[in-house]
Amino acid sequence: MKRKLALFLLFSAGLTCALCCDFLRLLDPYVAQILMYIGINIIMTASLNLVNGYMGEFSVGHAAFMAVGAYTASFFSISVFTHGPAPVVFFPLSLFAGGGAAALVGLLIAIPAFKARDDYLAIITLALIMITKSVFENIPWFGGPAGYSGIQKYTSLSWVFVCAAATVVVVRNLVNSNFGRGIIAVRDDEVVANLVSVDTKRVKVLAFVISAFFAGIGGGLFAHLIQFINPRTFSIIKSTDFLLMLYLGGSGTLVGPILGAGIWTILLELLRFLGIWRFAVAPVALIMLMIYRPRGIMGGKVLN
Amino acid sequence: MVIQQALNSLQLGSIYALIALGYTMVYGVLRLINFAHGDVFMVGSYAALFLAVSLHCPLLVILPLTFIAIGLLGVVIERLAYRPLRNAPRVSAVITALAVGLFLETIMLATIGPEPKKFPALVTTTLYTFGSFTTTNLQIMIIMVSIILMIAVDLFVAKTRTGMAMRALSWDKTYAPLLGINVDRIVSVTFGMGAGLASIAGIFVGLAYPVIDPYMGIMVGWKAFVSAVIGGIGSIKGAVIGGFLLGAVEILSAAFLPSTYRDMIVFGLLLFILLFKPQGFFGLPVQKKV
Amino acid sequence: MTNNTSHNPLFQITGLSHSFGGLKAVSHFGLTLKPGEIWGLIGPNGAGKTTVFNLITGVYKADEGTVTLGGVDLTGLPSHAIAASGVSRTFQNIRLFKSMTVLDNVRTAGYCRLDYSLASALVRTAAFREKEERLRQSAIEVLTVLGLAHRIHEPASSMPYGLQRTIELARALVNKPKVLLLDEPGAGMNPSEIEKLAATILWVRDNLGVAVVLIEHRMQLVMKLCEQVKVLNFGETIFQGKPGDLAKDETVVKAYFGEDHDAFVN
Repeated sequence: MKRKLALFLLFSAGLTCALCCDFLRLLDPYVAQILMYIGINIIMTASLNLVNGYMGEFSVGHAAFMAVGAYTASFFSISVFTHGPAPVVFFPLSLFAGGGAAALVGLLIAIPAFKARDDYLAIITLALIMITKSVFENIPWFGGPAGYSGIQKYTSLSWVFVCAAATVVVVRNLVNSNFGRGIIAVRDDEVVANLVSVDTKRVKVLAFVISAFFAGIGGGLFAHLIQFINPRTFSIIKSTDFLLMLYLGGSGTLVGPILGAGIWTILLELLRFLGIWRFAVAPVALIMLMIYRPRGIMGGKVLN
Repeated sequence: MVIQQALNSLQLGSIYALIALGYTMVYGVLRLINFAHGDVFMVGSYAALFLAVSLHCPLLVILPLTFIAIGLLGVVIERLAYRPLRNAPRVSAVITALAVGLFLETIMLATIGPEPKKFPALVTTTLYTFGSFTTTNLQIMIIMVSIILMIAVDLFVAKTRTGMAMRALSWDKTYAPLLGINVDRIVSVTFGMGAGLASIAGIFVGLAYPVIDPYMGIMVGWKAFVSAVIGGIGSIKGAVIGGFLLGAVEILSAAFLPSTYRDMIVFGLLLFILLFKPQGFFGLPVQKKV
Repeated sequence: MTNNTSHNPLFQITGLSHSFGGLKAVSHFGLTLKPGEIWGLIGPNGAGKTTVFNLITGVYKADEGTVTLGGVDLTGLPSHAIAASGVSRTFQNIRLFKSMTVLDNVRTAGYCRLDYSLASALVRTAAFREKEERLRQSAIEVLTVLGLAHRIHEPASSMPYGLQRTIELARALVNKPKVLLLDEPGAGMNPSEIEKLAATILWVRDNLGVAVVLIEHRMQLVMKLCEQVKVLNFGETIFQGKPGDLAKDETVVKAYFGEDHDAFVN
C-alpha cells in the first residue's frame, strides 16, 4: 500500500512539473523538446520490450506501428476533428485512434508470429515496414510520397508524461500477472508453455497488440511534435534505434527501456557537435557495450 | 518482350544472388544474420568508384582489386566486431551487426556526402538487337560473370577442404573444432568470400544502374537478405535461386505496375512464400523437440 | 454430476498410431487407466515411449487413434487445452522456465485456472488480487508438500538437479491433474533419491487420486510403483502385464538383449 501511495505521489509530482513547464514556459524550448523526445522514446522502447524483451521475439517492425499511429492520429486531428471540440479533448482521441489502428496491425502480425520465430519473425516484421511505407506512399489523402504536413503541435510535456507513465504501468501490470507469466513462458520454452496450459496463441496476440497500441500512441505524439511526417521517416533505421535503446538499457526489465531511451537520446544530443560523426561514434560505443556488457545497463535477460 | 524481361531479371537477380550468397554463407557458418552485409556491398561500390575515377584503373583490374580489398574489410569487421561475441547471446551479435552497418553508412556519408554519385562507364556499351529484345554486352557480361562466380563458390564449398570445413561447421558448431577444423580461419574465409562477392555486385550495380549513394546498401541489402531467406537461409543453391526469383519479381512488377507498388509486391510475395514454406525453398525444416 | 466410480475407466487411449515420414514411430497403442492406477511404460531406447506422451499431450497430431479423459474426447485438441483438462507431464530432459523463480514456474502452470480479464489485470481489481492470491497459495502448498517451501523465490535454473526434477513435479501437480505422465523421473538419481521419489509418487497417488503413467529405465522404480507395465519396441506393444512377469517373457528379453541374452538384471 505504501508503495502504491509513493508511486501515485511521484506521478502527481511529475505531472504537476510537466504542466507547469508547459503553461508557465519554465523550460528552454530546446530542452523541452529533448525531454519530449525522451518520453516518446520511452513509450516506444517500453512497448517494444513487451515483445522483444519479455516474450523474447525478434521483431524489427516497431517503426511500422509508429507509422500507422502517426498517420492515423494526424488524420483524425486534421480531417476528422476539423470543427470539433477543443484540442485538449480531441487530441487524446486522435492518439487513441492512432493506437487502435496500430493495434489492429499488431493483430495482423501476431498471426504469422504463431509459427515463425527469431530470424523468420525478423523477416516478416521487416516486410511489414516495407509494406507499410509502400502503402502510405500510395495513399493520396495522406500526402503520398511527399508526406503529410499541416499537423499542429499538440504534443506537450504533460501529454508525453501521461502517456509514458501509462505505458510503463500497463507493461508492469501485464508482466506481473497471469498473462505476463505466459509471455515469459513463451520466451523460455514455448512448447512446454503450451503443455502446462498456457494458451500461447492468445498470449502472443496480447503481447503484439498491446505493444503495437502504445507504439501507435508514440507515433501520434511524435507526429504532433515534429508536425511533418513522410513514409521514409518510419524506416528500418527507426526500428533499429528502438532496438538499440532497448538492448542498451537491458531488455526484459522494467527500468531498462527508460534508461536506454534516456541515455541514447541524450547521448546523441550531446554528440551533436560532432555532426554526422556522432552516428559513427555512437555505434562504436554500442559495439563496445555489447562486447563488454551484453546484458545492457540493467542486466536484462538475453536469449541464446 | 518476354526474353527482354528475362534478361533484365537475370541481371538484377545475379546482383541479388551475389549478395545473398554472403548472407547465406555467414549464416550457415555462424547462425548470424550479418545486417552489415548490405552496407559492405555499398562500400564495395564506392571502392570501385574510387579506383575507377581517382586511379583510372580499367575494369579488369578493378574487379579483382575490389574483391580483395572488400574481402579484407569483411575479415577485419569479423575480427573486430563479431569474433569477441562468438559465444555471446545472439541478440548481442545482431545489435552489433546493426551498429556496424550504421557505422559504415556514416563513414561514407561523412567522407563522401549523401549526394548520389555517377559511376563511370567502364565498358563501352554495344547494343545487340535480336528482333523483339535488346541486350548490351554489359548485361551479358554481368550475367555471365555472376554465374561463373556462383559456380565457383558452389565448387569451392563442395570440393575443397576449406569448403568441406565450412559445411561441417554449418552442421555442427560444437564438434567441428574437435575434428581439427580451425574455426577462426574458416569463419574469416567465409566472411572474406561473402564480402568479396558483395563488392562485385556493387561494381555491377554501379555499371548497370549508374548512380550510387550511401543508403543503397540498406534497400538492396535487405532485399538480398529476403532472397537468401526465400531460398532457405544457409543454402547456397537457395541463395542463388532466391536472388533470381526476387530479381524476376521486381522487374516484372516494375513492368506492369506503378513503381510505388513495387516494394509492396516484393515483400508481400515474401510473406506469401513464407506462409507455405516457412524455411524457404531449400532450407531445412525446423523440428519441434520435446 | 455423473457417477464416475473407480470402476469406470478414467483415461482411455485407443489405436494411437503415428509415423514420421516413412518411419512408423507408434503403432496401435492403447491404454485404459482408472483413477489411482500406476502404469509403467518401458522399452529400449527409441521404442516410441516419449512419442506416445507427445501424442497424448498434443505435441504431435496423431495419424490415428483417440484419447479420452472422463468421457471427454481430447484427440486433436491443442496442447494447452489438453493440459487444462487435467493431463500433466514431466520431461526426460528437465524443462523448467529458466528465467523464472521456483514459485513462478509452478504458478505459470496455473494459467488455465485464472479467468480474470486483461482489463482487471491492468487495473488490479479486487477480483484479480483474490484469484492471484489463491493461485499463489496453491503453488506454495504444493511446493511445501514436496519440501521446497524455503526456496520458492530462488531462480529455478540455479537449483541442483534433483530439486529441479521436484520443481517440475510440483509444476505438474498444481492444477490437481487427473492423469500424470512422468518421463524418466528417476534419471540421474542415486538409489536413495529413487526411494524418496517412489515414496513421493505413491503419496501423490494416494492423496490426489491421480492416475500415473511412468516411463522409466530404472527397474527399481518400475517394480516398486507399477501395478501393470506395457513394453514397447519399435512402436509396437510387445507385452502388457505385471512387472514381475517381465523377465519371463521371451519377446521382452529379446527386445532388450537381442538374440543372445543374459539374465534380466534388476
